[in-house]
Amino acid sequence: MLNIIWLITGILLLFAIMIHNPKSQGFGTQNQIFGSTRSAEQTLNKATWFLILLFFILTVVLSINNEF
Amino acid sequence: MNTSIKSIKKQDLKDRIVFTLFLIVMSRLGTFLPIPGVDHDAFYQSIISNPLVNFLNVFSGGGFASIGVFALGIVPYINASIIVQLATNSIPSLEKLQKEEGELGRQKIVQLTRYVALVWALIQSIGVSFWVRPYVFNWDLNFVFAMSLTLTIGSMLIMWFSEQITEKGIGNGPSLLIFINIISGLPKLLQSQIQSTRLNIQALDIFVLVFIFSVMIIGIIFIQEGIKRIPIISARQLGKGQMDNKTSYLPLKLNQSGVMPIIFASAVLVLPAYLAQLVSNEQLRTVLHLFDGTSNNKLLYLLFYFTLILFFSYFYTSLILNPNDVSKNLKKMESSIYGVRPGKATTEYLQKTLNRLTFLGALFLAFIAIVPNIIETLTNLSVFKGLGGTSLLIIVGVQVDTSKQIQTYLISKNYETIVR
Repeated sequence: MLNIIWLITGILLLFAIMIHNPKSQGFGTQNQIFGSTRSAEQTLNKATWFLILLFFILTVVLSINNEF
Repeated sequence: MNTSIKSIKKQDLKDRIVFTLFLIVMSRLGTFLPIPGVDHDAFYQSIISNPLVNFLNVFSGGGFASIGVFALGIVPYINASIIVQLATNSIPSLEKLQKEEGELGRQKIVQLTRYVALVWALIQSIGVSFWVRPYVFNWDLNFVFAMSLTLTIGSMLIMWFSEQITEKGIGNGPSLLIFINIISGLPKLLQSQIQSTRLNIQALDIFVLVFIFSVMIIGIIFIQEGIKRIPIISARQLGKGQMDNKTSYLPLKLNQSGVMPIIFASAVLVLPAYLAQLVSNEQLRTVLHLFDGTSNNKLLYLLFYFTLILFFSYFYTSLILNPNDVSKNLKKMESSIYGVRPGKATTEYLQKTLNRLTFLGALFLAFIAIVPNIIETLTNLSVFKGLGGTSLLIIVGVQVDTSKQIQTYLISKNYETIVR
């Protein structure tokens, strides 16, 4: 059961990260200091953080029980 | 009023620093979060002397040796960046996206890089889950799927953390994460070096090491900070008859691309080591080892490294600064370079100057990167084995970059308050 929740969390987390709208700085170029954050991006950020926390906790629990 | 603005400014900077530190802690935490089902002790003992794993560990902060959730680290994102940026120069539609479609085009390029990173992470993680097969308790297709998914998620999370640091924190996210991973390996490296040299270390050796390190650090800061000032003159100055007033200038950095050529060159250097693991032909393996630095004859490896740094310096500079754009902007501002006609002549002059600067900067960068290897060969001092020129360049380079960004941030905030 825990495995399935972990799997769903992982896939949702991957999805949440990929649909994030990146700013155009990419790798190595200077960061853009002044930027506007849209509310959709904020909600997505909150959801991503929740999924990260859940994913970390579930991985630890699965690791302790040694079941994958 | 002034005090309250200052306190808001300080608070904002503090928030950014705290956020950056928080993400760094998270990235370290994930490195030590073990993947279930693997006999970690047996795996660690078997790969401790593997040069490829040691190299990948530099970028993943030890995560590769411990097979943590973040074992792949930022490597897939670096490789994806190299692939996409090389493709941008060779595929016309991508070139158009990068150069002509402004912010939106660049955003599409970044999104494409993320997708390539996802595919790369997936392929690499499937490879790793087959590679660890002898150390897995119950190896089956379920395990391959679960492990590949975990490693891919870990790598994508690191990518997202790095984006968040660049966007909402301080400094450049990817470089900062690599910097932290290198720093995290230092205590262990020092401990092992002290243990191995305790019996025969001499005062002269320590003096030589401290001297070389200091010279290298000064050299790195020198190239990071070096700029050529090209005097420019505006129509307004000409109108006022201030021909001799050369206070306005165009600053061209000696090393436009920072530590990126080093990071990219290091990522490419992993390839021969990786291929050497895959091939069974002994002769081919010996040839590949000549390029990965593990062979006794380091000449080919150093030459390869040197060429890669030169190539990526030119390549990255061409992406960051376009002489044609600078020339057009100067024309728009009714300014021109002292003694050079606006338009085509300015573009050509800038291109020539930039080429010479990049060559000089890259030469210096490559020289500093290979100096430890030369010193090591000449003096037989093994302290450089772990912390090579690459790591030192990244550490100092990222520190200089980050402190400069903090300064730029504070100055830009000051301008904001002046405008208000």
